[in-house]
Amino acid sequence: MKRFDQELTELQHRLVEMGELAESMIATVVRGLEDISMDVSDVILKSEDVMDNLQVTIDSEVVRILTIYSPVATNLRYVLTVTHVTSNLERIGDQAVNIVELLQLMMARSTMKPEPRIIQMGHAVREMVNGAIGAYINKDSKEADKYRNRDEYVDSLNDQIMREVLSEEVALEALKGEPDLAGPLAQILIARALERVGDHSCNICDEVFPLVGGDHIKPFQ
Amino acid sequence: MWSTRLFWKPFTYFSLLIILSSVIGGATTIRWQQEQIIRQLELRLRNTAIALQSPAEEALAHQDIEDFQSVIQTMASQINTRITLVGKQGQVFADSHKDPQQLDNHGDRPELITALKTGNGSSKRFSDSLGIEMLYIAYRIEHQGTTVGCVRAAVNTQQISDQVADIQFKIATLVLIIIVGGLSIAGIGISKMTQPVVHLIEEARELTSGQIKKPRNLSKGNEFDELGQTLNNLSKTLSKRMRQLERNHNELLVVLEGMKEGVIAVDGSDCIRFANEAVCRMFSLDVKRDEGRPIWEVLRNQMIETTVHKARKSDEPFHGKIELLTPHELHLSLSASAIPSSSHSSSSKNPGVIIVFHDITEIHRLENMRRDFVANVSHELKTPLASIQAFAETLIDGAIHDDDNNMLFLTRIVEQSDRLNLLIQDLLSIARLESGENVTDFASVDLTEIAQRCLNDHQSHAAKKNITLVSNQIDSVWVFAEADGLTQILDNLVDNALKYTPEDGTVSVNIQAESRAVRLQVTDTGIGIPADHQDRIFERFYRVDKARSRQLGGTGLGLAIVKHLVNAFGAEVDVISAADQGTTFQITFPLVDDGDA
Repeated sequence: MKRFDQELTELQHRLVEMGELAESMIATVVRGLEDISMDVSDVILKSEDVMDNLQVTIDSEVVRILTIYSPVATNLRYVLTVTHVTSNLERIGDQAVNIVELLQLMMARSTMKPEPRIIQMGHAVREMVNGAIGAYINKDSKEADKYRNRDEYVDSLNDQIMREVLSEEVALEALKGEPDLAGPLAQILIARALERVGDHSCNICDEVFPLVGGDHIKPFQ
Repeated sequence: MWSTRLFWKPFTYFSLLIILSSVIGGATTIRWQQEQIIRQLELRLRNTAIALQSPAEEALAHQDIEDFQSVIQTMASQINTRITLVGKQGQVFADSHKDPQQLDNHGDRPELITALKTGNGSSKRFSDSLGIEMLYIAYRIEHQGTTVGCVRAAVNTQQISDQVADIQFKIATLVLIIIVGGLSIAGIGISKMTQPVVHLIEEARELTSGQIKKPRNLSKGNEFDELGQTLNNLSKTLSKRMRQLERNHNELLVVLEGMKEGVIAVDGSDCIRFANEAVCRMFSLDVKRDEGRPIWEVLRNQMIETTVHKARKSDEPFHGKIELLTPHELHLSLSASAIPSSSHSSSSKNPGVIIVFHDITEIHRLENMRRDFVANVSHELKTPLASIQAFAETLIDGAIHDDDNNMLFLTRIVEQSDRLNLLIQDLLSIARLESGENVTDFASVDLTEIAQRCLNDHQSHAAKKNITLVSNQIDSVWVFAEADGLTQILDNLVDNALKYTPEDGTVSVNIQAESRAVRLQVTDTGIGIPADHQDRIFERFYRVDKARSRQLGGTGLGLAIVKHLVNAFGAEVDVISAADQGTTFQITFPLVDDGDA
C-alpha cells in the first residue's frame, strides 16, 4: 500500500509540473504580447515539446496504476480525473503555440499592436490557469467555483474585442483599398485562443467536484 | 505495587520455597513421629508380655488361672491393654476383656503360631473376639524347658491412629503457621525492596512523557535511594533544559514570525515543516492546510523546487531569484541552505532545507528606474548636441556663405544650446534637491504674491495661445517654504499647463486657505493624463507621450523637481486627471499663521 501512495504522490508531482509549465507558457505568451516581441517563441516551442512528453508520461503512468493497483473510491476518482486534466493542460499549451504563431503573423504582416484588452484577457486567463491548477491540487471546490466564474469575464472581453475589430477597423481598411487583414484577424484569433485557454481552465476546475463530492457538476450544460 | 512483576516474581519463588520446605519438613516429621509411636507401643506391649511371662508360667504351672485372670484384669484396665493367656493348643486360659470360656480356640492366630514356633510374634489384624483392629504381641511361655502356652498383649490400633492424628494435626498447624508467617515476612521484605524501584520506574516514566514533577524527598540509604537521587537530579536538569529549550523555541518563533523575510523549512522528503507569516503572505499559504504537504505541491514553482534540490546537494547556501505573478507580482531573491543533520540521525541521507525569501520588488523597481534615468539623460543630452553638431557642420561645409540660411542655422544652434543649458540646469537642481542641500532657508512666504508674479510672467505666453490665465485669490496666504523653490514649483506647473492645453483653453491657479492646510491648485483644460500613467509622471524623464513632450520643449524633469521641492517643504502633491478632461495638480501645504513673518 505504501508503494501505491508513493506512486500517487509521484503522479501528483508530474501533474503539478505540467500545470506549472502550462501556466508559465501562458505567462510567457502574455509577456510576448505586451512587449510585442518574438523572443518568447523558442521558449514556447520547447515548452510545448516538454508538455507533450509529460502528457504521454502521465497518461501511461495512469494506465499502469489502474492495471497494477486497481485503486478504488477516492483514489480511483483521482486517477481518472488526472487524464482529463492532462489533456486540458496539453491543449492550453497548444493554444499558447497558436498565439505565438498569430503574434508572428501580426508582426510580419501588419502594423497593428495587440489591443490592451487582449493583454487584459491574457492576465485574466493566466490567473485562471493558475487558480484552476491550484484548486485541483488542493481539492478546493470553493476556489474551483471562483475561477470557473472568471470565464464569463474572459468571454465578455473576447466579445468586445471581436465587435470592435470587426466593426470599424476592418471595414475602414478594406474601403481604403489597402486592407490590413492580417492584423485584425490575428487580433480576433488571439482573443479566441485566450478564450479557449479560459475554457480549458474551467474544465480543470470541473474536475475538482468529483474529487471532493463524488458527483459531476456542470452548471453550464 | 501489587501488580508489578518485580514484586510477584521473587515472591512466588520465596513462597514456593517456604511452602515446599515446610510441607516436606512437616510430612517427614509426621511420618517419623508415627513410626516412633508404633515402636513405643510395640515396646510397651513387648515389655508387658515379657513382664507377664513368669507370672503366667507360674499360673499355668499351678493351675492358678483365677488369680491370674483377676491380676491381668486390673492391670489391663490400668495400662489400657488387652492381655490374653493362651495354652499350647490355642485354648484361652485367661483374658482381660472377655470371659475365657466364651472365647474360641486361638490356635489359628498368626501371632500365636509364630510365638509358639520362634518365641515371640506379632501381628496387626482385625480381632474376631472384639471386632476392632488390634496390634498383637505374643510371647512363648516355657516351663522347665517345655512350651506350655503364650501370653499375648494387644492394644487397640485406634489408640495409635488417635495419637498419630493428634501429632499430625499439631504438626500441620505448625506448618501452616510457618507458611503464613514466612509468606508475610517474604511479602513485606520484598515489597520493601521493590517499592523504591517501582517509584523510580514511575518517575522515569513521567520523565520520558515530559511531565516533570517536583522531585521526591529521598532519605539517604541504600543503592536504590542513591539511584533515586540521581534520577531527581536528572529530572531537575532536564526540566531546566526543557524550559530553556521552550524559551529559545518561543524566541525563535517570535523572531521568525516577525521577520520581513519569508522563511520556509522543508524536510528530507520535501514536505513543509515550517512557514512563517511573511512567506504565507508572499505565496498566500494557509499554514494549517499546507504544513506537511510537499513544497512542489503547495508553491508550484519549478525554480524553488530545483533550488531546494541544489541546496540539499551542496554545503554552501544556494542563491537565486524568482519572479512571482500570482497572487501578487513579486520579485524575490531566495537563498536556500541545507540543515546540517547530526551524523547519527537516520535522515542524514536527505537533509532538510531552509529557504529564505527576500522581497526585492522595490529594489528591482528602483534599479529599473536608475537604469532608465541613465539611458534617458544620455538620450536627452545627445539630441540637442546632435542638432548643434549637424548645424555647425553644415555651416562649415559652406552654408555659412549662404545668406538666406546661415542666420537660421545659427539661431537653431542657439536654441539647442539653450535647451541643453535648461536641461543641465534642471539636472543640477534635481541633483541638489536629491542631496537635500539647498532647501534650508525656510521662511513664511506669501503664496498669493508668488502666484501673482508667476501669472504675470506667463501672461504673454498664454496670450499667444489665446489661453485664459486666471487666479482666484486676493488675500495674502502665508506658507512656510522657500520663495525660490515655490516660484520654481509654480513656474513648472503653470508652464506644463500652458503646454498641454490647446488654444482657447483656461488655466486657473486657485489658492484656498482651509482650517488646517493651504491648498494650491493649478487646473487646466488640456489633454489630461490617462489613469495608468498618473502614478509615474513624477518620475524623472517619464513622459506620457514622448514625441509630443519633446516637441513642446520639455526637459522631462519639471514634475520630478516639483515633487522633490514639495516633499522638501513638507507638503503633498496630488494629481486629479482624466484623458481629454484636463488636469488638476493640487499641492497641500501644512498651515502657518497669517502674517507670521
